[in-house]
This record gives sequence, structure tokens and C-alpha cells, in this order.
Amino acid sequence: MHLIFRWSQGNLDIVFFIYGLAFVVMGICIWAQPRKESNFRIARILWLLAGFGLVHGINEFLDMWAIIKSGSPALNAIRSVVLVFSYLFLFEFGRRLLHTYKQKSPERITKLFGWQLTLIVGLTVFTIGFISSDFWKIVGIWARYLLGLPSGLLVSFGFLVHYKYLKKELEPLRVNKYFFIASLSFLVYGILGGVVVPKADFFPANVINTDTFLSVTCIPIQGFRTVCALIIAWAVCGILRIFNWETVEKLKIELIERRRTEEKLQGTYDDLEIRTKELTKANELLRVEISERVKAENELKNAYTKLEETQDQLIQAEKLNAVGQLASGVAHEVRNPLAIILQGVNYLENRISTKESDISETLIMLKDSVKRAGRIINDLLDFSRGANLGLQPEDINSILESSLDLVKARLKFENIDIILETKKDIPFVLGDKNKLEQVFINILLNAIQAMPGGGKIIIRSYDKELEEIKNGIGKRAQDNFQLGEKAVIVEIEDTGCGIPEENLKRIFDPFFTTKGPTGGVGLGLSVTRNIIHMHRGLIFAESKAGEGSKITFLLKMVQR
Amino acid sequence: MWNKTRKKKILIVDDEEDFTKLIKLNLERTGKYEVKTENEGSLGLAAAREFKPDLILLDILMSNMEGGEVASQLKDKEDTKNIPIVFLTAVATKKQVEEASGIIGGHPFIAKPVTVEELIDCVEKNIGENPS
Repeated sequence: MHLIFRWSQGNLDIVFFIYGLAFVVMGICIWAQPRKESNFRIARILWLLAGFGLVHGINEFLDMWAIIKSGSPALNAIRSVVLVFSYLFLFEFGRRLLHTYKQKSPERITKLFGWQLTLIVGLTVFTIGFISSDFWKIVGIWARYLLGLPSGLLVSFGFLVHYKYLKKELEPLRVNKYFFIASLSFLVYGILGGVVVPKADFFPANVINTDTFLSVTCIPIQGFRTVCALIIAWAVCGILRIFNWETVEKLKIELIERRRTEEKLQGTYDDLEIRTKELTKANELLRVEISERVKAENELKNAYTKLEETQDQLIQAEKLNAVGQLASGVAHEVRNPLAIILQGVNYLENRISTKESDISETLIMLKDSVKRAGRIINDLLDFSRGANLGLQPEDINSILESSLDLVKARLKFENIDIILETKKDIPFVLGDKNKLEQVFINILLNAIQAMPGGGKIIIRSYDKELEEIKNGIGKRAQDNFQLGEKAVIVEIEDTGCGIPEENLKRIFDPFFTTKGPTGGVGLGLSVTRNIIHMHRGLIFAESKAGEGSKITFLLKMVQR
Repeated sequence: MWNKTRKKKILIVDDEEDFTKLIKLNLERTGKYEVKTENEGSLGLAAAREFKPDLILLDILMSNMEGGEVASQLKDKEDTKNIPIVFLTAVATKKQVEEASGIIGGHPFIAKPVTVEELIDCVEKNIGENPS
């Protein structure tokens, strides 16, 4: 005891240093503690405690200064002011500490403890000092009585209440003890700092003062106060843990949130993958559908083109039909007058004396003209009747034979040899038997007429794949035959006088004839070509003047 | 003897008046035939029943009634169904006649225009004996 007394007496400056340091450190710790986003109510008012810590700490440093450099009136004044302000901080802190639970306290107490109280007490302190003789000393003493003691009590009580209020919440943190200790130590400090004042000549300062304390305990009051300060600082720093805990808690919650978000994201991602797969599949299906649609479209286009073609053919047939009907009507109308003329000529022949050659010649000319007119009408009818086609699968070889039979009489008569080079089991041809016979008879008759002195007729038939592009053979839709298509081919060749080159391209023209007025009317080959075209076939003529001619037919094949 | 030298009776039904006139002239000129002309199809049946011909020359396309119709009417009646009919028409071509071998609808058939000789040929081929 004695030793402590001696040491503390001699080194009071060190004591004050520690004293001040404790509070300053506390103040700094509070200040440095991040508590902006805290949900603790205490967080909002801790700045006052920090203020108290710093200012009160400065006060002790000034006391230390006073000991080291010895006091001066100016220093005393500053020290008193600093003391008062530090206690104002603490008082206000204690008041607000209680206010945070104003819903638990009755109405009138909270009214009593308004901010005005701090102001009033502060002013009271300065007033008392003012009316006294030693302003600064009295101010210092009364600051302790009126601010120091009550603030210590308020803070102590406040911490206690806080501790009770947050007991459940703070239990896991084990900060309850800090609250408890802080409460206790502020109580003690309040008494030590607020009751044990510097000696003065009025009650109670004359009885209870620092000197009497020293004589009783042999230790200066500052020593106890220092210890108290250290305990306060420690306890407050412990209390500050709640913010660390809060931050950690917040981080934990954030982490959980983040994890949840991550899981959600992963879920969304998995979802997305599935969707993407579905979309890809749907895309594929769409693509297939599109290609099928395109195919269908093309088929449709082809069908449409074919339809157009058929339509054209029908229109053509219709036209020919109309012409045919007209021709029939005309034929009938013309034939009747012709019949009358012929009968008339016959009558005249028998009534008029034909001894005179003029008369008989005239009558003969009349008869021939009637016959000629009749032939023209017949040929015209044939020409226009091409539309009435009865298509059937036919054996072209048998048609060739029957055509030959029909002209046999003429062949024998004209000294002509027939050479047949027909293919056995040739594929059927889609055709009208009668019309094709008409065609072949026509060509054969032409061949016979081209060989008045006799000759040869070669008839060939075969099937072949068409490889050469010609008129009517190609790749276009309107070509009768496509490249690569198989067709039945008939050739009728003669060794006659041939067809001069300038006539070759005109032989199929209607009314073109080289036979003179008593020959045919020139419709034979055009009718022939018409019939072949109605069969969707082709006809070609080749000739060398003086050597012979060859007519080639291409006809559509059908499977047997 | 009388029967042999009796003239054969021919009825011609055709709406061309000039034609029928000339046929009558040309056929009667031979001395073998007696010809009656009728220019309306609908009157052909009555004419046949009254005249009782040995042969009927029938046009097909007539304005009033078609030759085919007249033919079927003739076939219906007892007294006319056995009379041979030859169609004499401008509707078909000689070629069609040849194709059909000169017979259409079961009856012989001549295509106009026709010479007197061809006509007489066909008549002689087809004429029948009408007992009345």
C-alpha cells in the first residue's frame, strides 16, 4: 500500500497518461468501428460515447500536462471547459441510451428526459460558476456533481437496460458480460468522478473530496479512476464486438443468399440447356418440314406446269374440235351442191350429143372439178378430225404390216421391193391404230409416187434411248421427249427421186405440194404431222435429191 | 312377162330439191325405174306406204327429220319394214364409207357426190322385190 502510494504520488503524470490513454483509445475504437449499417439502436448514439472518450481523455492529458509543466490560470480554464464538455457528451449519451427504450418506460419520464435537460444542466453549471468567486474551479466541481455523477448513473442504468433488452439476441455472442461490466464500471466511475471532487468550502465538497479520499485510502483518487477507466475501455471494446458479430452475421446471410442465388442460377441454367435442346430439336423438325414443304412446292410447281400443258393441249383439241365441227358442216353444205352438179353433168352427158369433142371435153372437165372439190373437202375433214384420237397400247409392227397390206396392190403394180427390219417384241406404243395406219399409208404412197420406175422401200422399227438434242427432244418441259427418254422409232426409207433441199423444210406445210393440180391437194403430210403431234410424237424428214428420202417417226412408249 | 318389164319403183327422200329432180331425171331416163321424190323427212313414211317402192334412197341430215329417224319409222310398220333402204348422204366421206364397207346402221350407204353409174350400181345391188 505504502509503495503504491509512494509510487503513484511521485509518478502521477504517468497515471494521468494511462488514464487519458484508456479513454482516448476507447474513443478511437468506437470511432473506428464500422457501424453505419447496423441494426442496433445503440450504434446511432455511440458517437457520443466516443466523443466523451476522446474529450475526457484529452482532459486527463491536460492534467498530466499540468503536473509536468505545472498549472497556469489559462490551462485551468481550458481543463475545466474540456471537463464540462466531456461530461456533456456522456450525459447526452446516457440520456439517449434510456430513450431508445422509451416504449418500455412511461410517457412522463420520457418527457422529463428530453434533450433540453442536457442543455439546462449545462447552463446551470455555468451559472453557478458565474455567480461564484472562482469561476473555473466552481464550474469544474459543479460539472462533476451535476453532470459527472448523473451521467455515470444514466449510462450505467442504460447499459443494464440494454443488456436486459438484448439478452436473448446477444447470448450466443457472450457479450452480456461486457454490458454488465460496463454498467458496473460506469456506476463506479460516476461516483468516483462525480462525488469525489477537489476540495472546496461548501457542502459536500468540504467533507468528501480528493484530499479526504487520499487520507483514507492512501491512494490518490486518480489511481482508482484510472483502473476504472481501463475497465470501462475494455468493456466498451467488448461491447463493440456486437458490430463485428453483426457484420459476420450479415456476411453469413449474404453468403446464404448468394448460394441460393447460385443454385437458382444453376437451375435456370439447366432449364436453359433443356430449352435450348428442345429448341434445337424443334429447329431440326422445322428444317425437315421446310425441306418437305419445298419438295411439295416443287412437286406442285411441276404438277401445275403439267396442268398448264394439258390445258394447252385441251384448248388445242377444243379448237380443232370446233374446226372439225365447222368443217363437217361446211362439208355437208358443199357436198350437196357438188352432188347436184355431178348429177346434172351426168344428165347432160346423156342428153347432149358428145360427137363434138368440145362438148365432151367440157363435160369431163366439169366432172373432174367436182371430184377434185370433193377430194379437197375430204382432206380438209381429215385434217380437222385429228383431235379425235383414241389412244391405246398398240404394237407398231402390226400397224406397219396392216398399212403395207392396204397398199400392197399398188406396190406390186409399181415394181417395188419391201425390206422389213422390224424389231421383234418391240415395246408397245400409245396410239390410235386407224390414224397411225393413215399416216403410214400416206408416207408409203408418197414413197411409191417418188419411184415411178421401181425401187426399194425399207421399213425399220426399234426402241432407243434419246441422246441427241433436237427439235422436240431436250430438257425443257415443252419438249415432247426428254433427254435420256426411251422412245419407239419407225423409219420409212425409199430410193426415190428425193426432195430438193429448198422444199425439205416446207413439205409438212398445209397445201404444199409438188404434184401439180391433178395430184393431191397437199394436205397429206400436214395431216400426217398433225396426227403424229397429237400422239405427242415427232416426225423428221431427211432427203438427198436423186438418192431417196427417209421419214423418221418417234413415238411414245408404254410398258407391255 | 309383165312382171319382168315392170319398172322398179324408187322413192328418194332428200331435202335438196334440185338434187332429187336430177336423180329422178337420170334414173327415169334409163327406162328401168319409176322415181318418186319427197323433200321432207316427216312425209317420207306416208310417201313410202302410199307409193310402195322397191328401194328407198334416204338422206341422213335433213332439216325436218333425220334419215335415221325415218328409217326406224319405216322399220316399225308392217308394210314398209321389208323395203331396202340405201343412205345417200353428204355427212360421211368416201373413206368412211369404205371403212364401214358401205354399210352403216345395217343399211347400205353411198357418199355424195356420186355419179349416176355408181348410183345405179348400188341400186341394182340392193333393190328388192315388192310383191305389191
